[in-house]
Amino acid sequence: MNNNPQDKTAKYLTFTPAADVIEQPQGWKILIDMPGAGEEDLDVQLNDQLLQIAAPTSLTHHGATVKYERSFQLSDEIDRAQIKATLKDGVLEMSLPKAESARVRKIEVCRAS
Amino acid sequence: MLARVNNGLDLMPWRNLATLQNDFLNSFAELDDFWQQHSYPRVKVENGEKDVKVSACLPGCDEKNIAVEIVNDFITIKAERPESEAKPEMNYLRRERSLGHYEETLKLGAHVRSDAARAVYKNGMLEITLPKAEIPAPTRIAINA
Repeated sequence: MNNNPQDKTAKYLTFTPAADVIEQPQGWKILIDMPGAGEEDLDVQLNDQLLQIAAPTSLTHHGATVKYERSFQLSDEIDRAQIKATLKDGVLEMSLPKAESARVRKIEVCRAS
Repeated sequence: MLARVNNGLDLMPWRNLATLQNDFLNSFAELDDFWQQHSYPRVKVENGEKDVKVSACLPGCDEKNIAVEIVNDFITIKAERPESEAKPEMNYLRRERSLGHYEETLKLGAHVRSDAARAVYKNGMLEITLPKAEIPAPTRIAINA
């Protein structure tokens, strides 16, 4: 993989897209701006705790094809089976819910009688 | 965004202004090589043989919120990504995306036929194709003795 943008012979030019990471009570949400990326070519992989997102586009820059790549280290509190991803209008929205066991459980405190 | 003053450095007083403006705007080109690794240019204008292609990165917009206006040789792109997307109960651990109003005016490199312009919004990219106008033949003016 060639990350040097000055190399004109490189086939791919990789950009790191802008991402928002939001924490909500029920889990996390990741929003990534990837203009030019389509659903068909989106590649999302989860290896252990590492979430890797790659999306080639039909855009070109300085003769090379533009590709977006970003990785995130996930907490082990996330319910991996419930991870969802949708790509619409160049925005990837991923929801990463917390596993039941990781949810905060409120314990009621009763007065001792 | 500043549009450049005419590139023709013909008249003496304007030459200094144009040089100054070019130096200022070109100083960002050095930063460009560094930032290239991190972001694709927001707007690209490609001057082709038969048409001018303008492509803008507008992810997550509603087509109804995008406006494209052409006046003479200038094109203005306006888009809105409502701030309401960021709700108060959201706790942002990392915030890199920009929301809100986006507006940019660019000078096109050639005369275009705005009536034949086409704009397509796909996958967050706005692609505008503007066919070039024919350069009118010079009009000869007879000199009356």
